[in-house]
Amino acid sequence: MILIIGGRCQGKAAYARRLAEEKGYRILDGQQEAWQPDTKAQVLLNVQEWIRQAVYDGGDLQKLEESLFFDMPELVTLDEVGYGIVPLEKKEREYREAVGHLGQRLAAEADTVLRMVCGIPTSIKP
Amino acid sequence: MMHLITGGSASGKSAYAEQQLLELPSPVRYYVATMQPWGEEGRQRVARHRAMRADKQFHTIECYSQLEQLVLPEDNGVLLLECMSNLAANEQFEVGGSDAQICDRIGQGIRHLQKQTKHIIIVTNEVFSDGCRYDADTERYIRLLGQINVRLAELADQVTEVVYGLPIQLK
Repeated sequence: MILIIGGRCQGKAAYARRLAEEKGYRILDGQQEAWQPDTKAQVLLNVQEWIRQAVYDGGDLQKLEESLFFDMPELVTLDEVGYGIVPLEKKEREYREAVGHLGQRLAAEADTVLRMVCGIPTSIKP
Repeated sequence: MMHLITGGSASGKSAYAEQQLLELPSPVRYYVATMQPWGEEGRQRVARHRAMRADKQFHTIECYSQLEQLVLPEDNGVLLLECMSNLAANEQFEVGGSDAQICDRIGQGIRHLQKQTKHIIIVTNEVFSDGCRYDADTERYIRLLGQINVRLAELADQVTEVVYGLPIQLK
């Protein structure tokens, strides 16, 4: 699995879409669609958006994570969200924590982790 | 040649960028300042940056927006633009237009400066990783600066991220 992380609007999804197109992968994008546990997509974009929905709609985060990992995707993009002040609002703190922990888990499972800055990927794993 | 330098607040990217400018052989070194000094804090910030540059003999030009209209006194010098995050804000909030128009205008402005210089250094800012959501104008600003950074990095020959004074070469 390739995990692409980085700040917002750094070109992660555009990069992932190019890779996905080459391989003919099916894409599910958190910015466009709700999470569908039964979808067999090899590419998951903007996974932080499903986490945000689960946190705000009282969804089951653990179930979301399990279904994310059940059929291991080939390519995942996830925002880095931890480079700021701890948010005052509880839900925002939960969101940030959940994204961070998911990112750690994904990075541990991934064969390759790319970090995107200004549209340029830097490999930080292996 | 075009060198894009990015980094967080107070990462040392300005000092690094100024050093890069000094190391380029050229009779004239332009410093294009894009921050409008609003209020006391703004004036102090400008004064601090001016003091940092005092003995470097840069030719300072203040240009808060519409780079595409900036004509340098002499061609073939070297130039440092600081900083894209201020320029983008001025373009968004004062000049206006759609995202595409603003991106195109900034792109044109940079190309216009490239034609008048032999080397251009652009400082920008990393504001994308705090996990926070903001009001619509700020959300738009973040998206806009992200797009501008990606586009500039494509055009640039060299891209560097400065982390606490340490330059990491991305391209």
